[in-house]
Amino acid sequence: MVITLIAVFGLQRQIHAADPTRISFNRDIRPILSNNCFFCHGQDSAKRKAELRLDTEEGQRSPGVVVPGSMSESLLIERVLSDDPDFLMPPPDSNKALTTSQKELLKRWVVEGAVFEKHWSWVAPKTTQPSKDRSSNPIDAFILDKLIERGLKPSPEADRATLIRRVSLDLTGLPPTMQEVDAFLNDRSANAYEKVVDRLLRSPHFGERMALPWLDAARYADTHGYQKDNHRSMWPWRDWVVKAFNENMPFDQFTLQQLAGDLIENATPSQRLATGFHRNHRINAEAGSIDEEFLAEYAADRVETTATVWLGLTIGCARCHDHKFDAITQKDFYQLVAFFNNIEEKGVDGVGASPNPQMKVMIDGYEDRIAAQREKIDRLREQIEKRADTLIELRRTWEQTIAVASLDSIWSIPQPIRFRSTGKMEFQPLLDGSILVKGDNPLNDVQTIELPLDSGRVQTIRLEALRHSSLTDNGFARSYDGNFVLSGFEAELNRPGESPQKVRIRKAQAESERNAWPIQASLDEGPDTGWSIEPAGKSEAHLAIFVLDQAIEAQAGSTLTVRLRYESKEEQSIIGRFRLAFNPSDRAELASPNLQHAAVIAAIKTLLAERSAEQCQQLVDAFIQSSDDPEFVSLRRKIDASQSELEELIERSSATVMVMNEAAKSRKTFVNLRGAYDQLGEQVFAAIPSSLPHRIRNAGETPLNRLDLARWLVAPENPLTARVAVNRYWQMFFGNGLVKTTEDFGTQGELPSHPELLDWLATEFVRLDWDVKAMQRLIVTSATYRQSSKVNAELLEIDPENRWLARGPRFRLAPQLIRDSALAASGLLVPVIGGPPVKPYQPAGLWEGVAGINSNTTRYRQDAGPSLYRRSLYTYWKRAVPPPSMMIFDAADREVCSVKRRLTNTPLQALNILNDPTYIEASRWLASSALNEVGTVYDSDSRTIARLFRKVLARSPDTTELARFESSIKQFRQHFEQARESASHLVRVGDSPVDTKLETTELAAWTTLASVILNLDETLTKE
Amino acid sequence: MHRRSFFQQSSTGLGWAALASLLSTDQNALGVDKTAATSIPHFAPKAKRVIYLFQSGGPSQMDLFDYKPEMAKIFDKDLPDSVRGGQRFTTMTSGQSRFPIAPSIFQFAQHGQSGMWLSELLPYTSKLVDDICLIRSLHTEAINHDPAVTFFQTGSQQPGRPSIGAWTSYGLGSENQNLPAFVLMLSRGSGRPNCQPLYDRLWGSGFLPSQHQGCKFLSDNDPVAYLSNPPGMDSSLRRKMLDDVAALNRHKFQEFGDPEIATRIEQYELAYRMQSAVPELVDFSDELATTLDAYGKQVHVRGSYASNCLLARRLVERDVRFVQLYHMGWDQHGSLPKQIRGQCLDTDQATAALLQDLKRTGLLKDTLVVWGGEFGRTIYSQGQLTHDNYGRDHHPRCFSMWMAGAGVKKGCVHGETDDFSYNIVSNPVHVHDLQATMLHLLGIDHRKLTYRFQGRDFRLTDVHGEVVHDILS
Repeated sequence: MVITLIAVFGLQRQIHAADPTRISFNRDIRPILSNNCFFCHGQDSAKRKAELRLDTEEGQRSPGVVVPGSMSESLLIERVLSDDPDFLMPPPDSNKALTTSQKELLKRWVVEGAVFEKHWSWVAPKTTQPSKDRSSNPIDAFILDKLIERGLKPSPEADRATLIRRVSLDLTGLPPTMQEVDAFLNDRSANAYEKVVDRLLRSPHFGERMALPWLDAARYADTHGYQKDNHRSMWPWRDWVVKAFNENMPFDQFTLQQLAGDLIENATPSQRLATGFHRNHRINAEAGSIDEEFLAEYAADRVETTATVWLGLTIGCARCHDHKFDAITQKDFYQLVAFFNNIEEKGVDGVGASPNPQMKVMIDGYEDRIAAQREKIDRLREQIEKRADTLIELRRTWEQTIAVASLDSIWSIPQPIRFRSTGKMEFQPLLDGSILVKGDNPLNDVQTIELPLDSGRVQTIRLEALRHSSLTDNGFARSYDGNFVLSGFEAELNRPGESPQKVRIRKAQAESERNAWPIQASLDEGPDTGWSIEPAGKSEAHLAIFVLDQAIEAQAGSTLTVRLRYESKEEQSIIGRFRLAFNPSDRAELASPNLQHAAVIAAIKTLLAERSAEQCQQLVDAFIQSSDDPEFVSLRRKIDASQSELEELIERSSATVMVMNEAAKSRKTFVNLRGAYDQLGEQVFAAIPSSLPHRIRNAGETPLNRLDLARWLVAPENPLTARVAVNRYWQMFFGNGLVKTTEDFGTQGELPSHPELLDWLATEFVRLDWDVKAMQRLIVTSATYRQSSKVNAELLEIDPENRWLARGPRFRLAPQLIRDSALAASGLLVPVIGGPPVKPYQPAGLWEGVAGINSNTTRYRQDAGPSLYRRSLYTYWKRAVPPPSMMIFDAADREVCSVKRRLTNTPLQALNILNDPTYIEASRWLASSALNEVGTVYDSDSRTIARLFRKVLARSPDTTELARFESSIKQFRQHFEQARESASHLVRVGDSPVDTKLETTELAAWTTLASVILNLDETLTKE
Repeated sequence: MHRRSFFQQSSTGLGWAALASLLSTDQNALGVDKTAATSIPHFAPKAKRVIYLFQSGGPSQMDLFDYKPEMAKIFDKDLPDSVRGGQRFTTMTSGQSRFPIAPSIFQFAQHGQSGMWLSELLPYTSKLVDDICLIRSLHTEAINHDPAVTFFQTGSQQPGRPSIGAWTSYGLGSENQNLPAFVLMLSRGSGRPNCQPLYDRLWGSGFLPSQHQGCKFLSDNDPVAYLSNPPGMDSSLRRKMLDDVAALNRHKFQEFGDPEIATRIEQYELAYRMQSAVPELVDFSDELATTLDAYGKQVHVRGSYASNCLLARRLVERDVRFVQLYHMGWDQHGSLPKQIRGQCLDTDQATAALLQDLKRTGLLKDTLVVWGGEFGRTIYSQGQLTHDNYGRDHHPRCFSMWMAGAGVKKGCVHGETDDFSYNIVSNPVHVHDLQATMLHLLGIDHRKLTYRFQGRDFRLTDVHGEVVHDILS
């Protein structure tokens, strides 16, 4: 049933809340003392003056400090009222001063008996039940209480179109489709809204939306940060988060698994993956850095993040000294460090994609596809072999040609025996004897390939670089531009029982050379020069030959070691697929087409009758591989392509990701004096901060571990976790949390605006077994949430920030939602869930401008195709240069944990939406979809405008808006009819093809109109 | 007072911190202590603007500024343990078996009336010694680039704090309505093109509202990201579009009353003005040939240090509050003589031209210019030492910087190091002291420019920093 807040208000306005005039220590006094006195008279024993504490009851009751009921005997009052600057508290040089009203409050407090209260958030939430008769949703009862107390009136419910847009953006981060809006508008059932909410909660996009603030809190990124800022592979953890939200994992499980999934008995791979949470922090790799310094950083980061996310405490203050305001000592801090200080990790390790400890994660949905692909390849092979059987004659002729050919014109392709790569690259032999290079993609590499020299003579070595679909732009390397630089080529002969002998190379020759990068340069000593090719060409392969000074006469068991050096400054310019071949002559033709294994040649030269079964098979295989029968050629291409697809599937079917573990031998933890990693104080052991309620034994035979900590966080006696979590939910929907300082529930934080509501929500969360979706449902189905967000001058004056919620929430969307909404409304969005990060449009030169040595993220290579239109959750997050359009709209920078939203309103934001190709392309798509909706015949302007408008804003334009747009579209049309060339420029912005069914000037005019709509305040706002 | 009028004021020169006090309804949102904020500037400022020429990588003080003639006598001798005094090494040199003294191979001479000693690497700066104040006694806490640069820019080695430019923008606001208050520009050194990288957080706003983050001027295409209209959109059409957006937003404002809408209308107008102000700013065609020549040939190459220097002058001319240049490539672990020559060729002439230009236009009177990197370098050689080649590792214990312009003593040398340029002998200046001094010149008491975050009043200088009064005129 739809119950508006205003209706309930009408029934209940007679009731008056209790008179709140009595002084409350927590509400009125503690903030004054905390802000002005605790710095010298608080928790920090090192800074404490006059041995006086004002943060404890015991301290306040020290003789003569605070005497209940007696102002004249209380030194506290005397000191704060004093005219004598030497006697006055706080001292003038502290830059602190009490206001008259603060002094009044202190006086009244003493007169009323100076009652002390424990800090509110240290006390377990009380289960206050709201009066039942008020409304079906208890939230509304609590909100109404405060409204009545303040003499405020709630607002009516928002209109349906606004409401469905609001709740869709809040629960999925995407605007509703026109069909969804219409369905809701036409649904006259009593629970029409609840049906919408339930549909949204079931949407797979719910998990994506909920993941956004969680990734900010978890400081998730796709690079390691610090200077080098290399690529990292944490995205499987990100997908774990999305999945956990979609499956509605209870928050206590969500907590246990992310903090200590590895320590759960018989941990599943998914539980271990969850622990990636605490590997998301930055990892340094700067040359010259000291391991211990950064191990200390990582452990501290984990403590601070855990404290912010679960406890809402600013525990980082206690890293260098006892907390100035809250009851957290420096020892408490390092006892927490001890929980996180025992991982098998290194301090300076931010180089590879997944520094240890790590795990391999199998990605869902690939198993079947891989099996199907394998089957497809098998069938193709069968086909090709069948055909070989039917072409006996052709094969005989082919054997004859080879048998009579001069050996000099035959390149034999040896099958490598051993590979080594200094950059941890992996090698995969392909059908045609070439080698595909996989695994890590280091900046430089030295590869050692050992080849058999079964028999015969070798005087020329040929190196082929071949294209492959796994390489950049289907090119020759995994470098920025798909080109390579071979900085050195060496060969060594290994005879049985002899030490390796360097083979001298007389000359080198290549069929393609790039300016300043001749093949000859691969023979000199220096790493700065080498062989590179003209990238423009279309050839499938590029060849180079190396002629040896003296031919090698091979004996059985001899091998040749070829060393390929890639040591130039051109990063990752390593041939990605290569093939080596031998020829006995020094006059070998560079590109002689005869590609044969030595063994095949031997088989051909063997008399038919004497051929072994193995040799026969070898011949069939070789024939299949090299015959130019058109059917063979076509089948071979199909097999090759299918094979590449298979490799890609296998590649994508798993990923590595950093996780937590516990080292067998535990690392000792010490208090770091003044926070310095190399100034060690007393040794400490893992323990829960003593001032916080806990039932866990803090000392015992077996030391506490992360699982104990995680269990305590969600234990019934923990007063903070549930409050902190529901407060963040509240913040997501209403802009501010009930405790506005989301990150600080300590004494310096703000008091809750609705303490009873906060406590009720927290206890309800626990009562519902930490059901996350149920909590979201509870909030968005409240009448409070459903109010209209219109505001009048009077209410704005009284409650500018909407803390009392006499109106619905209205504030600018998160940066990711702004972009996603434009993509979704225009139909450009590719709604695939999960997977590796993507690189959409970004202004040129941002990565390059700050780039330095030895990083593998120095150049931004924009993706093509669907990756340009994925949700912003999947946009590649480089810490040194976060995505600019996100940062312009106040995204957290993901350097450290962040739980607080920020909202600014700047000219750069206007420029972003006005000019970013993302939004121009979305405007074009909006235009063409609105125009196309009614087929090829153009509709009336007013109806097209209404469709376009509703795609973005869900509601229909009012008459004023419609009139403006009707006049504008005429002007835009006129403009582009005078400037046809401009029209064709404008509609070509973005990579997606232009809708040719539409007249260019017409499309340009509507694109401009759509861009106006995307720039409206309402479009950027949750209303 | 509502946000709308609040923003209007902020573009007339009052900073956020000062304005926060006017915003009676939401004091805590800005986290500013009312009594402190109303008084910004806390006293009459000497400088209205800052140009900070950051030399990234750690310039070698003993090859540029800190003359150590005694070292020539002990070429290749070991650094005495008594001098090192337990100082930690980076892991780049901690494995070296010995630490041989590498005297600078560059000649030093005295210049100007002040008789300041400078290296032959800086012929142009040498002509202006009587305008600068050289500090030879800077010291810092970090020994690696990332934490050290972060410390210099934000007052903390850990990320998450606002940069000095952001603090300045927050405290003083902008006096130019069409340009951001804090602009930064990057350039690459020819001395070591393969250099240490930089990162956006160095000019970030940390926990301050994000409009205080530095606006990066780019050398590719648009000087400011997303500045230009898309292809096919001319300015008349853009104006018409903006009129539509404004009219519709006003309509919405009348219905909904949210002051954020009014602010958005203003921001769109500001964006439109930026679209013409920035191209005009980066267009050097109105500069005299003699001026351009003074900066050197590189001034014509967009994104070069020289070009950025001239842009810096044009920015402060337009009253942009804080302009920061980052020149990369000073991290010279090996082949220092060759690399530092390249760096000086990039920077010396243009730096001097900028100073001269500021003098000529009178801007130097109320503009503060700062030159320096994140730490110094060691007197001992990293890697092999020969008579004409050596390298130097990072050295946080002492290094040199200079300041010039508004309120700074001219032709002055402050602080002294030992014969090895390893330890400070007199007048040490900590990074926080330098930051306090810079704010002081801007009329800000560094102890009073605070922002409430996580329950604490944060400031640029943490709980440290003393103004270096000795270098103030």
